Amino acid sequence: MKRILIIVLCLTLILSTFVGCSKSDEAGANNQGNEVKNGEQTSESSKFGGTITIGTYADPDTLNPLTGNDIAGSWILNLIYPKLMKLDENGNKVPYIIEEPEISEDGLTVTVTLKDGLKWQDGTPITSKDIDFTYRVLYEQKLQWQYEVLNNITWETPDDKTIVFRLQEPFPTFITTIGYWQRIVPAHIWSEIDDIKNYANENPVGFGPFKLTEYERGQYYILERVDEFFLSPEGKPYLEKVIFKPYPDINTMVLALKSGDIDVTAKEIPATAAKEFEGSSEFNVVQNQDLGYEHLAINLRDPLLKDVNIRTAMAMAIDRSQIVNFAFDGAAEEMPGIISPVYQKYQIGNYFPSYDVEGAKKILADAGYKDTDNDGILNAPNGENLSFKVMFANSITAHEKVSRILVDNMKAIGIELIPEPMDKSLQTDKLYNTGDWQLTINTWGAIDDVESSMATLFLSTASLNWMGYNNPVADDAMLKMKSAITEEETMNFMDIFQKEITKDIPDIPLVVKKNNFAYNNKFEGFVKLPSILEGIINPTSLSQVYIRK
Amino acid sequence: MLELKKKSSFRKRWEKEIKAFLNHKIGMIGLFGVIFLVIVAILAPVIAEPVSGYGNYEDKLLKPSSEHLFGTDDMGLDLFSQVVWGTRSSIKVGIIAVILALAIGVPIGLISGYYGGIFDTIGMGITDIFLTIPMLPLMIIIAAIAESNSINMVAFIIGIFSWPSIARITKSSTLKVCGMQYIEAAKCLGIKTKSILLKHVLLNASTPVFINLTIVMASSIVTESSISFLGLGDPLTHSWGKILHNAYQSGAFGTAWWYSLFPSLAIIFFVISFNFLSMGVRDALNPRISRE
Repeated sequence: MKRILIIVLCLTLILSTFVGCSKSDEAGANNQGNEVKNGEQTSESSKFGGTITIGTYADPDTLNPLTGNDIAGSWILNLIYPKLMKLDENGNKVPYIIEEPEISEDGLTVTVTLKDGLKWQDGTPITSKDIDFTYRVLYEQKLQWQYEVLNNITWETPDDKTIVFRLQEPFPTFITTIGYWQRIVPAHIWSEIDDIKNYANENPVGFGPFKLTEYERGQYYILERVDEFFLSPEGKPYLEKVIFKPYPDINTMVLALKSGDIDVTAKEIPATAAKEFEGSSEFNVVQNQDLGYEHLAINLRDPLLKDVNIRTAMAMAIDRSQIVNFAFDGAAEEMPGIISPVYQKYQIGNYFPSYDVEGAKKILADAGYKDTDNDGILNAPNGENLSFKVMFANSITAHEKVSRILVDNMKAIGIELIPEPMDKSLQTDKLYNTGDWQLTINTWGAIDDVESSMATLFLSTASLNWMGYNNPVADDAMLKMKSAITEEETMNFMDIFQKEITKDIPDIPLVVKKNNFAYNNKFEGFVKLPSILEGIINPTSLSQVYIRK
Repeated sequence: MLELKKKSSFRKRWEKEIKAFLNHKIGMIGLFGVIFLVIVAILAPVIAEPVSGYGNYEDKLLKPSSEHLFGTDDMGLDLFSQVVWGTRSSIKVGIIAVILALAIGVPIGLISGYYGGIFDTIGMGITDIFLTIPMLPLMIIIAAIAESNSINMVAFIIGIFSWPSIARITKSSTLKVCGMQYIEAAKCLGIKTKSILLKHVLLNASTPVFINLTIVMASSIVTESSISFLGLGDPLTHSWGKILHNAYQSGAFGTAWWYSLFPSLAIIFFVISFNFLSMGVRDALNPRISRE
């Protein structure tokens, strides 16, 4: 009896694999029937109504806009709380609830004026007092990371619409940085809360195209449209409701989209899945540029990796085209220098040495590394093998593939890499606390305002500089670049900085990925913004999306 | 004369048991399955060229064909080769896990059963604690925080958590054997305890332990697959769980059926072979059943 049971169980397992396949074929057949609909025109007046269901990868860490710090939360919170600035389609920061900010000639005064007639969802007008309150709380209670931006900055509110910031030294990207990253809260509600840091904010009152009406953690977040929103072409959003559903597993989310449980994914989907959706007539796939990039960081405290010859040889041994092909399925761009090609302006010819296996071998041979024990791995003069551990988060598929490619690439020049998949939190702990690592594959999340953000990554005192990079010339260039007022000055210091970093190689940039987002094409009007933070789920986009009738 | 008679009866018993096993159809299927796996593992370098890193971009996710019997994966690598080499790692993991389980489980079981008293309380206490801990999550945590992710490390982790069942079974059969008159006789004759334990007790208590070992072998490979599937295995060694992990992570789980089918079949084949083998051995060594 037991044996029969085992056999039956095995057969069921095998059969279920095939059933899974045939289902997707059926879906493919259905898609073809829908093609006719796509050609129809939609009339203006019939755009209102309907619900969109969005797949996200997790619940927001909190609904408190002053402490929330994760991407899943930002998709929801950005729809209900405003910022001073937003991204446009080219990745520039443009005014959202304010007019164009005025920066004085000496760069020390920034005047911000609110747009006319904006009101919180409870009817109270939005004033400069709200901005003042938010920034004050942020700075006094040291919330998120944005409070650091407000260091040495004072401000005043001469009237209800204006706020004037005074800086001690020029910081041209001050208003774009704080303006883009910091959400504003209504002072009349939040000034009555005692413990803002731990406030759960269960009934948020904000400003945006939608308001949160109902939610169940782990299940759904229902947002309903507001009656008036200035970014909507017809005065208010077309969609009646927006529902967010968390799917912790990306494959499950893709299946949910396929089966119609959700209409769009807020999180980017794997390239293979995107290809599948591209082939279907029921879905559209759009791609956006990432503002960060993937990189191989080097621990400069390591006795062997201290040697710039090893780092240079490693940089030359990496075949980035294979990383683009295999780890990102073609949806990525090679990084030639330290600044992402997304920012064309800063591509000024300071590039890392390009792919050259023979050249890399020569550098190592000239520096005295020889394979003295004939094990295929080069040895340092003291006999030590050139063998390094490279860590990556086991949850990031692309990084695992990058590690496999790097192992092969390094083998070709006689360096052994040992991949070490680990829990993301352990990797973070090693980078920020213990310093017990040699190489790591990571992502720089979103590098915006390049001229100021380089200092947050590579300055010898920066908390993100776990590589331990310390070059006084580069430090000076980064600081001057941050406070440079004229374009010429900025570019001058940018050039010095780039030359230093491409010579020192503390970090090897790999590729900039493109993110794929898929949506059911009964919806139209999405606005695609750069970075994984925005994608096609952002206030600008959702205030314009409608259902094709 | 007596010696001779004893030997012949011993041989007779063995002959009877082997005959019983040979007549046991399920057991024989299991045996052939295990032999097949061992041959594949040994001859892996002859059967398929090892693959590593990445292949050609054009060879990405190809369907099974005469050139690639099991198709290719999303890195453009041949899956047949990966499944064949995966057999090696699976058997390696199984053997290391079994050796460790024996090395820890048997002494604990023997001492608890033979001496009883405080030894029993402590030995079985530890065993019970280990049996109540949810093993898989614990192994996953250890694999996640372990410094090394080599296949040996994974096998080691599985081994140090597989011994409780062996300890229990050793103890219960030791208890049974200790009650026999010949043990009492051996004690009276002044034979050293070590010799009694190893020659008389362990040898006679080994049958159920042996049956259990094949089950440990089968379950170890399922555990290894689970750990690898979660991305905590050795990234450079081919194992069936690792292939499944890659397949799932590739996003091609729904379309490239060959990617997940062949490693799954290999795991099923491995587990069934060892389970069938254990059924055969159990029935053959059980006098009541082998007599029937």
